[in-house]
Amino acid sequence: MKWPLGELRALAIKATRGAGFSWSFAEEAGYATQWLESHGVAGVSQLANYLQWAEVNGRLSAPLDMLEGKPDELSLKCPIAVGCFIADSQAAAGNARLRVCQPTLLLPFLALTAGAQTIVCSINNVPIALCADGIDQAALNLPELGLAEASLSWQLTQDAAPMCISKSRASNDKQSIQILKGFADKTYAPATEASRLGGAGAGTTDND
Amino acid sequence: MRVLLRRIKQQNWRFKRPIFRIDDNGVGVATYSVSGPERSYTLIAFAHDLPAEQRSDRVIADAWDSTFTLFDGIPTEDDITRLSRNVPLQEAGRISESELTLSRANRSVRMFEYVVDCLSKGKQPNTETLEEVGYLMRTTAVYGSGKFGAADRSVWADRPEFAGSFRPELLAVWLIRSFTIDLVEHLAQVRGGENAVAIDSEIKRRIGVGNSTGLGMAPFLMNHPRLIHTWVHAREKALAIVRSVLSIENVEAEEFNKLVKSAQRNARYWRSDHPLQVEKLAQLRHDLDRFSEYLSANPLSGRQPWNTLYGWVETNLGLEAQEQIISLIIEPYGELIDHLADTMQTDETRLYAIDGAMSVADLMLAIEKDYQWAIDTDFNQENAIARVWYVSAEKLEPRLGERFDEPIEPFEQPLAPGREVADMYQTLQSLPEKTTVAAMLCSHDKFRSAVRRVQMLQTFPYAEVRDNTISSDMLAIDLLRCKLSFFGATRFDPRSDRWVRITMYKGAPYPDELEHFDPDVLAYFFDDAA
Repeated sequence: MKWPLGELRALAIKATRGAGFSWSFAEEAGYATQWLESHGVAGVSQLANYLQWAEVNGRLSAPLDMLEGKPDELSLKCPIAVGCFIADSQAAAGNARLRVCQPTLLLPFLALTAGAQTIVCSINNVPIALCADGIDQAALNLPELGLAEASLSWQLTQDAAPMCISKSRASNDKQSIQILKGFADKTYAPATEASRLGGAGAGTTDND
Repeated sequence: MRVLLRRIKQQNWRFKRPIFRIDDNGVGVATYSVSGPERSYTLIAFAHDLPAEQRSDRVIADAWDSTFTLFDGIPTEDDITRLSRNVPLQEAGRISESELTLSRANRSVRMFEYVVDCLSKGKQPNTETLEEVGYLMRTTAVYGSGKFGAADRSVWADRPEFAGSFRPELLAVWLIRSFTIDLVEHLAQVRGGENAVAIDSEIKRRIGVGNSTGLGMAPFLMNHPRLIHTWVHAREKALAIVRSVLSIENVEAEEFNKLVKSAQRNARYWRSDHPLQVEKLAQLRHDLDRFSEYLSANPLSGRQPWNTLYGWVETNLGLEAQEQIISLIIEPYGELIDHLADTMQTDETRLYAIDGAMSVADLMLAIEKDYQWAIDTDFNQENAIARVWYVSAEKLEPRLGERFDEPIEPFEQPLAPGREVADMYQTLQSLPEKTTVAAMLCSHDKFRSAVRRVQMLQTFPYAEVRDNTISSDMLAIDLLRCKLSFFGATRFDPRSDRWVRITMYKGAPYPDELEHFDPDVLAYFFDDAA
């Protein structure tokens, strides 16, 4: 059963929070996952891989070196933290090459930065054209979109917007969905009778 | 509700009940199809045999008298079979992109049985008795937009018939109303045989659909800030348009006077046992009486008479009466304001882009302008943070708990924007004024949501619930009522501080009557006979 994108986004947010990130960060991860899936890219597996990686290796530090304008090309970066910084600062021309974990998760933030224009992003030197409404269809099967780690740079261009597709359902990736559900479960309070009676407001008769 | 019915009437939709396979025990399936100029939709209703002890309105229930889905098109028998395995399970089942809503309803046992009994004996039910409840069944959840596998909003958002908010859900409820009537008539026929009669059409119109709404709607308001802005903005805009009307015609004054009398009747017949609502109702009745006296002594006249009237109302009456009278003031001016209904929608899936170039100093000014109430709240006081919004593992629905009595804080949902913004404001005070928001967020990613909300308010001033949503005196039912009122609901009946009952479509035409009735009558259908 393919998931509706809205439901998937809600799951992605809860999973990211369950993996120990802030709710604010999780909101961005939810957006990125939905954006990728809505344009035919396997965002669910990207996020599942990233959360599992972070569980083992810990959180990557904030990209403060980018803030200082001297990004360290060797330090591994968080795709969502870097994506947020690029979108916030409208850093449309990234001269630097960055070493990014699950780099595909960064693409939705470049799309946000592109506005009405086109951004060409290079993942391990393979160019991928993006615009606000999607990603070049020709790139959808590139193995670079599945990389666990890659060097990445990006450039705003005058190119025409790429041909994009838009989907209303997510890919049917049961394994990744299960991983996200596992993380999301950590955000739910265990059921108790007190919660059932108090929290849900139960306990009075409904037969009117 | 009215906007949907107006659209259906304008487009001259056609109605059918292709399937009614309900047995003598009231168990089975029925379908209700509606066809507009371009598309058809079908309510599929599954009727069950529910033991009385399992009849709970709360989300913790796992069985219901009837369950429903709104199908996008005309379902095949295979579709109905597939859905019969999932829809009765509600949250525990899965529906697909062919379905737009998922809902369930329970009987008002007393009213349902009373009406079946009357009809089976060839009698019509007494309208006064009907008025005690106002419905035969009440929905206890109406899910849409991607919930439990249903189609995402993006699938139908550009269909003209669904312009606005929650239109598929409201269509489903309107058709459920027809099903409740068909079910009582069927059971009366089974019981009474040749003696049984159909319900009189005038009496039938007094029957609406009940709705029990719980905590799930409260987070919705906080999680859809731009949508809420469009709703409130439309109403404020409508009021501003009418307040600026230069002079008044007799016909409008007469309509308004009638509406005031209707509102007084509505307040008189509005029942609730909840102490807070009882108190509010007493004040509302008192204020409406005062208003009526004022209106008799000061007939509408002069330049901008509505503006003058509004000024008096705002100064002299309580909040309940103020809001009621605003609704009455804008009512006679449909031709000036009805177009605003189509503005009450937005695409919340697009991320609101943060302006990272804004300075910390400007961000602080924006906070001081819109969140002074939050800055002034001492969030170190226990009563200011007494509540926790959380999601239970039991049915994955929102609940509200007590921070200092229950071990739920680790599971807290981000539903206290005031506290988040106040927390951020404290951090900002220690940063250089020229620091950009992008730089601040680079090392404080937990404030991203707070920044987004503050910046959003610069463009969408009605996007925020401007109060502390975790304080000890927060009443969730106020949030629920806010949302329901935009559906056109009236006569709110809180059942606790966490859930509320209403009646929908009372007075509205049924599908087969719409051609000959004005859907606008339903807003102020207040029963004279009751």
